[in-house]
Amino acid sequence: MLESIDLLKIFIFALMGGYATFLANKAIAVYHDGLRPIMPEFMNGNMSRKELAGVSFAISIGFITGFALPISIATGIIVIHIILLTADFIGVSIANTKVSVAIGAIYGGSITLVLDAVIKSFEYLPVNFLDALSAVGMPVIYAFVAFPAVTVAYQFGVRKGVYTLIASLAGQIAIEAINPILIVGEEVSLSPQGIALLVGMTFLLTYAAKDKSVGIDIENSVFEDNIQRIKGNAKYLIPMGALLAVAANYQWIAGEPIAGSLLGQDKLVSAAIVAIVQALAFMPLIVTTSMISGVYGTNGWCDWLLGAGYLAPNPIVAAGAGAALMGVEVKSLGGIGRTLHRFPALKESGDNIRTAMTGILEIALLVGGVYAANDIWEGVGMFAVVSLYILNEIAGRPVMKMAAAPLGAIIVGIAANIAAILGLITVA
Amino acid sequence: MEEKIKVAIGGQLVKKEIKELIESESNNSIEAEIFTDMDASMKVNLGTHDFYLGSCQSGAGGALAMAYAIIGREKCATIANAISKPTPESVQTLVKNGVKAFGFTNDRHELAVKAFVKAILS
Repeated sequence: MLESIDLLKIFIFALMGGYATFLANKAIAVYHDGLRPIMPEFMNGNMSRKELAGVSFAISIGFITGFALPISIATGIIVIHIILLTADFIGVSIANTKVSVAIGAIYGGSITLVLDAVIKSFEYLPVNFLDALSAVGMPVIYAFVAFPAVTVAYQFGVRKGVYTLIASLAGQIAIEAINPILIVGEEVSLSPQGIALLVGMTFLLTYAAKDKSVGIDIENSVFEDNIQRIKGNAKYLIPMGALLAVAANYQWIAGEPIAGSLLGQDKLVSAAIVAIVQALAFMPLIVTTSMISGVYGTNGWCDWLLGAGYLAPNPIVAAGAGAALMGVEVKSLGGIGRTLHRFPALKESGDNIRTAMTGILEIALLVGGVYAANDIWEGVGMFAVVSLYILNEIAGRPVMKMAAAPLGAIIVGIAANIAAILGLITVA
Repeated sequence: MEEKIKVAIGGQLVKKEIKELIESESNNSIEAEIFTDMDASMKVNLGTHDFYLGSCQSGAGGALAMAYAIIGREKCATIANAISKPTPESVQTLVKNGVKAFGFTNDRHELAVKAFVKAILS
């Protein structure tokens, strides 16, 4: 088992954990969008470190245990919350920078070992349900293409949503029909999903641009000091961009379950497209929370840094691209803040993309979870996951809605192993 | 006749669902309008709307960030997240203490909106 330990992976994750902890400790950047707006309270002395640490823990733990962890195990790709939310917590709770960075680095390096060991340990189980579990992400791979149409329907009405859906579908089917095409004598397959997304996003942006409503004036000077603080910290932020892109280039991390599922199936280009569109959805949130706090986002606009990493031909180019994109983000902060404010429809679209993606994930991961569980233990799996899902709903969702079915599938896998040990089921 | 209570919906997620739920739960006795989080916060500050409601995946970041900056942190509260659930009583206490902006997770928006409406109407 020892020979399979990847030293480079441990090193990069230790570096990532340690460096993200440093950024949080110095209040340069935090990953959690809910922690960022609270940071000024701590920096002004209105909030103690202990209180801040408490808030950080309370708002992060659910994301790690109820969201990132089950999905990381199911897809085999580390969902970045596991590293960066913990780095936030370690950074804000331990005052001494050296100590907190050391702990952050040890955590980052060791968590990859732990997760790899968990995944490796599946081989030793009577019922190895790892392959079956990867089916959790299967519906996501195809369903995510729906998000522009869902966003349009949500923001501009069902009729326009249907037009967008038909156009996206037509694009996808047409590309599937003509694939592979010949370009200068070479057979090339275009991504049908990529085209469908492109068509859908064009519809969304066109509808959004037609909406001419304007925002209420806020004096921008309120934010000017904060923007300057972040710009002054650019030299510390840029290396983080490089690190994230390098880890993404090795296909070790994903920003959320959609890209994670796609990466798990080696669909690099689709994962990159999702990561880049995700940035469009998160940019308004990152920009506004940064402007009000003077603290930036550890992962920038969320995921286009990773997207660049997926697409880069090697880690060195990835590092350069990640660094450059982080630089672009910081430089454009004030301008984007003003634009978002002037064109509320654009910001509204960003918000609605998030609503659409969440809705699609909730359904796709439910279907995937049920499907995977049934693959692990026919009949019982479907019965158990559907019941667990509804029980979670009735209990007021102690587990996040989108993580309920994947977690259910893991539980069915564990139960199947116990049953096999007890001789209740025969292992093929 | 007393004027209707007006809610500005900001935050990021499930805004339409929040609006519809406020209207149905209050039998249309509370008015709800959807804005961006910046505009919703400004509306409450300018006094055209009485309360701000917003949701996101943590109940604090996308839900309340702008409200923190514009309405003021002491007038903001997260009433539901992955570990906490609201009751009409807890929301009522917050309203009495001058809280104007309420944040919650999209996962628990039904619980939060129901508690908010009950607290306001009782």
